[in-house]
Order: sequence, then structure tokens, then C-alpha cells
Amino acid sequence: MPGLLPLFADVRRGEWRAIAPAFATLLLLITAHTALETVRDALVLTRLPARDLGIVYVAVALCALPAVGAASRAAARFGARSALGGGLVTAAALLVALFAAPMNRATAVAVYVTTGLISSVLVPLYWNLLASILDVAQARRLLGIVGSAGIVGALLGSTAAAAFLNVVHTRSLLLVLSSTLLLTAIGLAWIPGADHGGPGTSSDALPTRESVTDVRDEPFLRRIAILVLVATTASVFVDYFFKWTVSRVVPHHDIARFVARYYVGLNVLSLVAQLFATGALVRRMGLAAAVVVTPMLMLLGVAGTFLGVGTLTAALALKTVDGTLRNSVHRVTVELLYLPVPASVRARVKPFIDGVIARTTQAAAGLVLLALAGANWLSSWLLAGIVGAAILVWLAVAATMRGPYLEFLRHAVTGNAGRPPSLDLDLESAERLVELLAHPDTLVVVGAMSVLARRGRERLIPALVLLHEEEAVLVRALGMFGESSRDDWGGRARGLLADSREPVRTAAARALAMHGRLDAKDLAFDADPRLHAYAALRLSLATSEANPMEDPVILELLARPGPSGDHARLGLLASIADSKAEERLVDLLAALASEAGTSREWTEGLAKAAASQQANALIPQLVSRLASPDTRDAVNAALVSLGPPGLDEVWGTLLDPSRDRELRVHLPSTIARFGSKAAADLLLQCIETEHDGLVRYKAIRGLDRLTAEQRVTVDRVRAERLALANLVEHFRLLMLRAPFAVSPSDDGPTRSTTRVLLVGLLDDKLRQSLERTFRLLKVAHPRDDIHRVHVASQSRDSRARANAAEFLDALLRRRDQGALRQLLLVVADDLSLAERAARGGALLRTAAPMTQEAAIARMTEDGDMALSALASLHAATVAGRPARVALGGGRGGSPVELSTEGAASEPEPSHA
Amino acid sequence: MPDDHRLRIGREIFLAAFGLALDSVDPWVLDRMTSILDEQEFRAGQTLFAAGEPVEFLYFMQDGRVRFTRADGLSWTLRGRWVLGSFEAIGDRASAHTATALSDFRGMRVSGAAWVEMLEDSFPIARSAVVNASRATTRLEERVPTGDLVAPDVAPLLSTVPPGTLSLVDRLALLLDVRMLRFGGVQALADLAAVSQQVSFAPGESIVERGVSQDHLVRIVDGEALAEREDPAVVRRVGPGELVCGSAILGRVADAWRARCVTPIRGISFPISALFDLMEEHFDLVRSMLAALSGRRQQLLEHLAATTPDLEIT
Repeated sequence: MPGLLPLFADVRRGEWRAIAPAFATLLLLITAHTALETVRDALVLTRLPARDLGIVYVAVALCALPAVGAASRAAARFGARSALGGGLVTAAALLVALFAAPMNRATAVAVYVTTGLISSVLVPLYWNLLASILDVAQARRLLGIVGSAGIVGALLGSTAAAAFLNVVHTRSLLLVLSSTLLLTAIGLAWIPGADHGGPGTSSDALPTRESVTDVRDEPFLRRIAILVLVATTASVFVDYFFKWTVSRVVPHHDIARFVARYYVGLNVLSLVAQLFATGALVRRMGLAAAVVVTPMLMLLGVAGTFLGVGTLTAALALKTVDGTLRNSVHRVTVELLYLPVPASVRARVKPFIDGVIARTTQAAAGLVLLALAGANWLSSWLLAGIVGAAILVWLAVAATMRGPYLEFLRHAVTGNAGRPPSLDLDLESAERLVELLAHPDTLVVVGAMSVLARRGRERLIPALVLLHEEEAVLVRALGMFGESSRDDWGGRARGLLADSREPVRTAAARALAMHGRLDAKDLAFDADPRLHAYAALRLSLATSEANPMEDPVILELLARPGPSGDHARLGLLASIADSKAEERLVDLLAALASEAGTSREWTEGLAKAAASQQANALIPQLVSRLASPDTRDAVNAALVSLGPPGLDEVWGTLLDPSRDRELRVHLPSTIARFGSKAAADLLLQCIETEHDGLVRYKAIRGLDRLTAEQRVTVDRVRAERLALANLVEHFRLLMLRAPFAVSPSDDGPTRSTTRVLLVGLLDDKLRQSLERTFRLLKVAHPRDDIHRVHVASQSRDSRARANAAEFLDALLRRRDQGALRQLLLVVADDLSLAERAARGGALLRTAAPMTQEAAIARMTEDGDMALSALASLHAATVAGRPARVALGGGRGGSPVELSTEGAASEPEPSHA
Repeated sequence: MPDDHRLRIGREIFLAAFGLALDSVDPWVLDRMTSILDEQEFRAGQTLFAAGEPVEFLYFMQDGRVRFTRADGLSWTLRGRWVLGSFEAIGDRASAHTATALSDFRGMRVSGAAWVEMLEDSFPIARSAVVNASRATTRLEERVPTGDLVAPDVAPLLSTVPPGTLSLVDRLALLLDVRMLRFGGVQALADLAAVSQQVSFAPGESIVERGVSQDHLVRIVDGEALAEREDPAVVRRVGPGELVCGSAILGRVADAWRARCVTPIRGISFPISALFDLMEEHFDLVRSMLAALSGRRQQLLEHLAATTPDLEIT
């Protein structure tokens, strides 16, 4: 039997201790309940006329409401286990009392009510107890097997009842069942685990403000409540239809035996469904889709009913579908829906939904049936029609569960990360910011200006700020005024042309120049060569239509030697950057570019000038300067402003393997800055075709940022294909890593060193491959916070991991996502490294190396140069022989040699 | 206007007051920063975090006083503008001290996890964090004129360093032994080792010159150097396993420092630009460096507190 179990359930080590007693408890409980159902139906159908059958539903509902409330309070105060134990003892006592009482119509209804109380109070308490000891992932694996205890119990109960009814009176069964319930109460002691909502927590299953608020405010809980409501309604109508038909068709004296045998058959079918269908449906279709199965099949049953309306066969067929699926597929899927709900909320809400809502619905449905019967409107056709309508509504609700379920899981995994507020500004805030412009702290003043600028409210910055003493404030303000369209600051800015600080004079000159208000003569005699050259070009452009390259002053500045000449040329460059695009500046810009230095100022100046003049000719030079980190932002901005020619050049450079690696690794980020669909497609292509791992990684990061910030959509299938490729690589590495999970004996420092390095490298690559997988998944699903799902899937908290797994399972339901989904579920599962490697290997149909030697042998043949080199080195040191291998990744991409000894091929040490 | 808009404005101003140039960060970075910050009112006597407990939050103190106390009574006070708890939160370690507010003040806090996530997503911010942490550590170094602060024991990967020319594996192992790089990952350090060079210096030779910009870091393999500066006068002996003027060079405040060889030195030199490039790809390297700087900072503060009663640092 244990060998067969993996076919039905994935039970891990240590879990038997919990589920074996849980299985036994449910078995006994349902055995007693099902036998009692047989007794109650036999009693009710023989003592109540068909038209009065609705009374039992109302009676159950009226008694269940206060009973559920009391049970809920008891569970909150004493824990689910104690509450369940108390309930079982109470039910046993009730049955004994009913045995002792004379059997009449009232007693029959009381038996019906007692049976109803067991199913509406004790069974939900049991599931609550079970939910407190299993997390979502365990529940998905184990609820099927535990739930089968219910089916087996139902089968046993109905079989036992059928057998007993042949030899004893119906009432005598009440005593037997009372003992069974007492035995169940004793068995509870063996169930381990946490009782959430234990002593000290107050909750109430009657419509309290909290539980009602929970259901009202949370869309997913609201949807569960509606699902339970419509499912209960359909169930009541189906059950009534069945009982109504049986009482009219089956001879009175045969009813008890008929019902007993029918339930035996029904429970056999339920058991088969539970064992073979439930788990498989949930695994294959996902939970949200599995919820639809029951109402869909029942709709088929209803269609069959219409074909044979009024016949016992039609009613039995419909009841059979309902009975088979309700206690197997439907029960398990609804319980699974609750599991991502936090335990404290679940403890409040579940009794409310399963108790109050379900019972109220039953009562309402019962009243409707009573009214119809009282008005003599009941007929087979009408009942079939009511049943059909109820099931249609049920199907509609079930079919729309996925959205709220996914949203709930999304929230459970990723939390409340909302969008940042917009950059609006109200009067009060604006006043506060203007006040801050007078703050003694320069940083605060500059900050206030920046805050206003970010919100497009530069006009609120008074020109009087140019009277400030601090250089940082003046430079920032002049920069903002220069880029604005306001003109109230010009006079004060002109005064700053004579400021003793060069940065202030420069900022003033540039701001005035941008508004065409710089009288270059003001700076013609400025001692600073930069400002002097700046002004000279402005003057040249203002006084003549000729090309500045024909102006002797400009030519002199171009040719001037030394640091003064360098500053002057930077001044010319700044002047070009601040000018509108003009044809006559092209030659001068080209001349400056040909002699451009590599300093930060030169690069930033070239970038700004190229942007302002739209000088495509400078694109190659700009691209070549992307290797420098200090100026990369400025160069990126310029390239983006140059549009498609800039993008083409960057892409062309990336495709050229002869270019320096130092440059190529930064090009994907530049491509991402273009923020367009074309850029996204190029990055995707880069990831698909690039050989350099670092460049590929940068492309993934760039694409990630592009889709997140620019909301560019990317081909989901391509992105997921790449994610899958990285995930397959992850498992390949995992299979190589697994044999090293056990610490070896350490025979020497060298062996230890190479082993530490090799295992460390494998661990790094494992982390990287998984990170890349999730980044690509995020590109495919930009709306979801996949990063948090990644973090949760690697968390030490098993519930967080389980929620992450459930979310991924619900998210990736398309056919083409199957492989990705299955592998990701293994990643998120609570498994040891070796188990995870084994499961991954089974899914990929790849045999994992079982020993370290086998893993090393495989690694030495690996396509990854670093891995194969270190593996070869480790193998050599283990064997005690010298080795010399090549390792790539040196500056410029050329391989560097590794050896187990100081190698003659290593370059001679240098003197710094 | 919803309160969250005003809160956001307040947070932007707060960040500006802390020295963040708002127009130099990407808009999404600023969006993220302002969304993860939380206003806090601190009362005198309030405990920010306790010794032995993990530090969940970073605290931005604008103008207050906080005392750090160790179980053995060693204590110091930080006054003015400080970020508290960042090193512990980033290093994922329990605090060795209890931090208690000595005055009422208003500040911000952010969860360590959210802060680390932001560093991981924005390399410019991570880079600034490393540079600023290095600078802050160097400023503390400058308060300790002399003395060998014993570093925490780190078991070396190579129990004996082979003489003569070092193989790439040796260089990799030696780089892994540098506290700042230890937890950066083998992959990252293999790349760093591949671009590193073995260097040697004679006694009296300068490794770091005053006023000369440094673009390489040197890890001493054998030998000893003396790093010193004036005004304030500080002297440090730098030995095997250490980076010569490491935090000063990374913090871009090494201009006033000079390091000369006392004995013949064998070392490993690597470009700082390569280190930063690798940090961008391997966030573990950023964490490793920040954690090491945190440890050093703690050491310095404890030393200062032990030698200066009622130590208060602004």
C-alpha cells in the first residue's frame, strides 16, 4: 500500500504523524454521520408527507445558527480541537436521548436536525482544525488523501447502516452511532499541531461586525460566500428533488432499504472520485478551474433530468452526480480556497460562511419549497427547472472565481505595495515649499526648488532667490530659470555675471544665453577663459551670419595651447550646447570633437552639444564613451535624444564582438533608456543570441526596467521561453551541486580550497540563474510583483513559500506555460537540495549525477569555462596531480590560465 | 489634497536635507524612496533597537541625540544628522548595542528589507551607499590617531601563501580573505582575480601618494606598510589581508593619505572600476562591502568610546 500512495498523494517524511490521526478522526466522524443520514432519511421519509419535507431544512437552519455561534465561540476560547471534542460528546448525548424518546414525527425531525448539526458544526470544526496544522502546499498534497477518509467513512457508514437495518430496528442504530461519536472524540487526542484562534482570541460566528466586514470588504471572501450560497441552494433543491421523487415512486415499506443501498453505491462512486479525480483535477487544472467541475457536470446531469422528468432514474442520476462530486471534488476545492486566507481571518469567516450563510440559505430554500408545496405548484418539471436555474447560477459564480482568487494570492504574496501618489501640489503644500526657500539650510532650499520643479511649479520660485548668498542655490535657480519660459529674473541674473565665483557667472551666462538675453560683450573681458570663449561664440553668432569657423577669434581659441586653450574649447562646447540647432555650428562642433579630451567635462559637453545640435555624426564617439561610469548618464541622455540613429549605432556596436567588453556590457542599459518597443525587441533579441553572460544579464535588467517604467509590452511567449531556459539551466546546476551537499572529509588545504571555490561558484550560479528566471518572468508579467514572489518562494517561512507556489500555479495556467509552472513549483516547494534536484531531473528527464566524482566529471566537460576550469583543477588536486587550465573572463575577454602550482605562463609581477 | 501627497512632499524635502540631490536620481528611485519611508516621532528615552535583536529598520535622524550602549557599559552618543541601524540592517546581523533617544526628535524610518531591495534595484544608489559608508568610516579612522585595532578573526582560505608568483586560484583565494570582499561570491571574485595583477614594492616605496588620485586598490599578501596623514595626524600599520587605504580610496577622500612600505611587500592590485562593475552585477559584493565597513565602524566607535568618556559625535 505505501508503494501505491505516491500515485495518489505526495506525503513527505514526518507528515504521517499528522495525517494518520486526522484520517482516522474524519473516517469515524463521517461513518457516523453517513449512517445517521441513512437513519434520518428512513425516518423522515416514512413519517413526513412529501409536501412537508421542506420543514426539515428550516428546522436544521434554525437550530444550526445558534449552534454554529456557540461552536465558534468555543473554538475561539478553547481551540478547535477542544470545541470539536465537546461537540462530539454533545452529539453523542443527543443521540442517546433521541433513542430513549418515543419515535414520532417530531423525533424524526430531531434526528434530521441532529444530523444537520453534525455536518454544519462538527465537520467545519474538523476542517478548521486541519487547516491550522497544514499550510497551503501541504493542503494541496494531502487534503485529497485526508478527504478520502470522508468518502471511505461515508461508504462504511452507509454499508454498515444498510447491513444493520436488515437485522435491527432503525432506532437502535442511534446508540451505535452515539458510541462511534464518543470514539471519535477520544481519537482527537492524537492529532498534533497548532490550534490557531486559541484561548484569548475572541471571535463569533454569528453576524458580528468583524466577520461581516471581512466578507463585505474582501472581494475574494465575498466570492467564496456567494459560491457557498449558490452551491448550498442547488444542493438543497437537488436533495429535495431526490427525496420528493423517492417518496412518490418507491413503495413506503421499501424506502429505508432503498435509501441505504443507494447511499452505499453513491459513496463508492465518491470514493473513486476522491482517490482518482480530485487530486489530479487540482494539479492539472489548477484550483480556480477545478471549482467549476462540479457545477458543470451537474448541469449535464440536469440536462439528462429534463429528458426523463418525473422518473426515478432521472432524479437518481442527478443526485448521483451531486453526491459523487459534492463530498469529493467540491468539498476539497472549497476547503483549498480558504487556505491562503490568514488563520485569524479564516477562524472568523469560515464558521460565518459555512454556518450562518449556508444554513440561512438552506432555511430560505426550505421555505420556498414549503411555500410551493403549500400552493400545490410542485411538479417534476418545476423542480427540474428550479434545480437547473440554481446550477446555472452556481456555474457562473464558479467560472468567475479565478480573478478574485489570483488577486487575493497576489496580495498575500506581494503585500500592499501600491503606486506612489501623483505629483499634485495643493495650496498649503505650495506655501510650505515657498517658505522653505528661506530656510537656513542650503540643502533644504535646493530641495524645495527641486520639489517644485518636479511638479512643474518653477514659477512659484521667486526671482528674488537670486539674491541668495549660497553658490549651490544660485546655480540651481539659474539652471531652472534658463530652462523656463519666464523672464522676470533677467535683471538679477545679469548682476550675477560679475559674481566672484566662476560657477555662478557660468550659470548666469548660460541661463541668459538660453533666453537669447546674453549680451556677449558683458563677458568679453571675463578673465575666465571658459566664459570668455563662451561669450566669444555668442558674439560671433549674433554679429554675423557667417560660419564661426571663419571668425579669427574662434580659430584662435581652437588653436590655443595649454590648459587655457582646453578651458576655452570647453567654453565653446558649452556655448554650442546652449544654442539652438544651426547648420553653421556643425563644422565647429566637428573640430572640437576631433580634439576632445576624455575628461568628464569634455564628455558631458560633447553629449549636450550633440543633443542640442542633433549631431548624428558624433554618435559613434558618444557610444565609445559609454564605458566611463561618471558620464554615462549624460551620454545616454544625448543618444536617446538623437533617436533611431542613436539606437542603431548602439545596437550595431553591441553586435560587434570585436569591441571592448568593458563597453559592450553597458550597451543594453543604454538601449533600455530609449524606452520604446523597438528597444525592447532588441533587448529580447540580445538575450536570445548573446554569448557573453554579463551582457545577457544587463539586457535582462534593462528589459525589466523598460517594461516596468515605460510600460512597454513584450512578447510574453518569448520572455517565458527565456525564463524557462534559465530555469532549466538552474536545475542543471542544481543536479551538479546536489552531490556536494554532504561535507566531505578534508584531506588537505589545497583540496579544501578548490572544493570551496567550486561549490561557491555553483552556489553563485544557482542564485543567478534563478534570479534571471524570475526577472524574465516579471518581463512577461509586468503587472505582478514577481520580485516579491521570488523572495517568498525562497523564504524560510513555509507558508510564504506555499503562497508563492499557489500564486505561480494560478498565474501560469496556459498550456504553453506547463513546463515553466511545474519547474517553478519545485523551486518553491519545501524540499532538500537533493530532493529538489531529483524532482527537477525527473521533470526534465535528465539523470542527475549521484556522486561527487560523477558531478565533477560532468563539470569538466561543461560549456561554462569557469566551471569546467575549476572542476578540472579540483579533480587534479583531489588526484594529487598538477593541472593547467584556461579560464576566460579576463579584461578584454582573453583567457587567463589557472594552475595548481605557480605557473611560468603567468605574467611577471609588476611594480605599481 | 490627500494626506499622502503632502507626506510625499515632506519626505522629498527630508531626503534633500539629508544630502540627496533630488534632480540627480531617477524619478522611479525617488518614488520608491518616498514610498518606503515612514515618519516617526521619537521621545527621549525611547529605544530604537535593542542589543542582541535583529535590526529591522533604518532610522534617519535629522536633529536629535541617540546614545548607543553596550552590555558592559561602553557607550557613545551621536548627535545631529545620522542614519542609524543601516549597517546592521544591511549586514543582516543583530545589534551589538542598544540605541536610545536622548532627546525628542522627528525622523524617518524604513524597513531594512525595503532599503536593501532598493539598493539592489538601483546601482547608482548602491554605489553611493558604498562610497558614503567608506567616507564615513575614514572620517572615524581619522579620529583614532594610532593603534592597531585588532580585526575580528577570519579563517583564511589559504593556510599558507605560496612564495613567488601567485596563481589565479591563489589570487582568488586571497581576495576571498579580504573582509570587504569575503561574501561577494566566488563568481564575482573569480572575475576580479582575472583582472588583478601581482605587484611588489621595496621598503620605502610609496603605494599611495598624497594628492594623487588612486584608481587601483592593493591587497597586501606579505609585508607591512605604514599609512599616515596629517591634520589630523593618523598612523596605521597595514598588513597581510588588508587593503591599503581601502576605505579612504573607495570614499574618494584619500588625497591626504600616504602609504609607504616598511618591509618588502608582495600584493595584489585590481582596478577600482572593475570592482564597481562587478558590484553592479553581483549585489552580494555590495552587501559584503557594506557589512565589512559596518564592522570596522563599530570597532572604531567602541575604541573611541573606551578612550573618551561621554563621547559625543556630530
